[in-house]
Amino acid sequence: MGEILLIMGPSGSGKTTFLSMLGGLLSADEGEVLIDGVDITQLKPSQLPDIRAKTIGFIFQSFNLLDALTVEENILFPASLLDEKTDSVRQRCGELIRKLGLQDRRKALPQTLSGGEKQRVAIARALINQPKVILADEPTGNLDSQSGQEVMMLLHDVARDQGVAVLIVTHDPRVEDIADRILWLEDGKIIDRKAESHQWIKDPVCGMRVDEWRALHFVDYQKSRYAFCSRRCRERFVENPEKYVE
Amino acid sequence: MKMILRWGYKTLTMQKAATLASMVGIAFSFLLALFFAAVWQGETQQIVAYPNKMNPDLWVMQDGVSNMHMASSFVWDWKGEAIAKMAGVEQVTGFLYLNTVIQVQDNKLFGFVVGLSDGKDRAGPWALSDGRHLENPDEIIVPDTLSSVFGLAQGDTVRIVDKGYRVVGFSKGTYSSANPVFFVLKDRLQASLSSDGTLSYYLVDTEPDVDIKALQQKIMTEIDNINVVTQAEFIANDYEMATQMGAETILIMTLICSTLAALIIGYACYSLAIKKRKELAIIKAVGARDYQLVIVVLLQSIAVTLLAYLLAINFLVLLSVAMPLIAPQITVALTPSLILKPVPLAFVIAVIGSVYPAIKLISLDPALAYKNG
Repeated sequence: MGEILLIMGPSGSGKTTFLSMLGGLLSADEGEVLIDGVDITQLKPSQLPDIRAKTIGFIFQSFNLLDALTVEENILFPASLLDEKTDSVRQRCGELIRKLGLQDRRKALPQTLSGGEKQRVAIARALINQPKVILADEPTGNLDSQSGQEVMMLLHDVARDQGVAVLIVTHDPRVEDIADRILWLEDGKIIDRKAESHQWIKDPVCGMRVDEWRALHFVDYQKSRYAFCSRRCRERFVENPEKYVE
Repeated sequence: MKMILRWGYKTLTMQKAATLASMVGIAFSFLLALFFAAVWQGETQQIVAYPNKMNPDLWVMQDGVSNMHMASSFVWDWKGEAIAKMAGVEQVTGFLYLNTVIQVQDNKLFGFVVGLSDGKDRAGPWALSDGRHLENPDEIIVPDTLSSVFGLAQGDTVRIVDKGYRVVGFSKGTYSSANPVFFVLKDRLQASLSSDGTLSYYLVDTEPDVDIKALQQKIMTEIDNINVVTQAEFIANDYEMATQMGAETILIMTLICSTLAALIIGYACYSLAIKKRKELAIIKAVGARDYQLVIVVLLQSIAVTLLAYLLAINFLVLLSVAMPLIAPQITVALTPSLILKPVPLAFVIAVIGSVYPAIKLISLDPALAYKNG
């Protein structure tokens, strides 16, 4: 059974950069990226395309289908880059099209598809080479709530039924429900936490709502723990706590 | 690889307007070069039209002369008579020849003047579109193109050296802008040149089954200070002289047009690559190798270039049909060699045009696939 891992964090925290490094699209300055036991940071640039094609499936927020190709051709595209027998690839493509409910759209061009359909094609494309891991960047970002829900359930099924690890970068709190693990990325640090319900509390300085669990700035004062939205609020609090504590 | 090639093909066909605009631009560059070459080819063919039509077995001329274009030759007429008496010679026709400036109304043309012994002899015009053959010393037959270009009519006067000649006929197929051919009777021309007793060239026709090479040697051995060449040699010499005159110009034109075509191809491929760089980044991200993308760009470039070349050929055929109506003085000659010869060059241009876009593709960051929009 594959794990579903969410990577969350504020805008600009580096989630997409992190995902790009995991996918071998950007080289990491330090550390290791192990995919199926292979450290891809040690590979030559010429070896990376093969690794990407064989072991990683990519899903993007803006779907990123190839405009000139039909649904079926888009799905088959990554497989055509490898030397696999056409018959087995075509059979797999047919199964994916059926599973994802795209039978009637097989010959359609991307411009004629709805957002949900486009993302289903992108998922099928990501799965065609039977990857070990799927890297999804905001897969529900451009979808309405119903389509977003469908896409998340598909990714859930992929992890459960096909044993593929699914890494999802998202802002969407609804996705947390299906995650096995959630990583919070902020200020260059990653916090690992289980998917739990939020503990919303109020920042005593600015009054903003803060998730106590995720907050990075705390002060223990008079036997109580206070969470802050930012370092600045924390510093203001420390300067004069009485002002903010009732 | 098949799918990535299909993507390359479909991307081209989806952007019909951009692809067509590039094709027309490239086709125009090719057309310029081809049209110039075709005009030159036509002009060259016309330069050798007279000796081609005469088609004797042997040409006899002054020693040291081996062609007609831009040449001068004087041979005593008794030498022509001596050749006519040789075994195996059926007929010898001599004519006086002068290349000079000819005044047609207010225009001065450079042309060939052929002085005939008789108005209907073998060295005369092979077809008249209007008028009659020469009968009197002050008459002239001019190329019929001069009638449509300058409005020249029968009875008008044309001046050669110090004498005026009255137009009595128009000949077909004797015009080229470098050397239109005029026909007069030789005696008056001889007087102008003070060349009594000489002619310029002799057309030697042999009897059937005569060994032409042996006769050529015999004439050269028995008669001093002359040159004797076969028809094929004479045409080759004249053709070489004519083409040498335009070779550098054609080369420069070809280089300019080829460079222009390569730049347009490069720009077209680069624009396509820029327009599709997000898709190209996606293709790289999902596992395509650089060489696969380079092949796509190269094939796109070759396809656009060859289609543009075909388009240029079509335009050229249309132009060659239209030119006699628009500008009858310009002869456009389309030959298989002229059409096929630049095809390898088109390939080279296509490859050169794809180099810069290919370099940009290789350096394209696949992480661009994660950028939205």
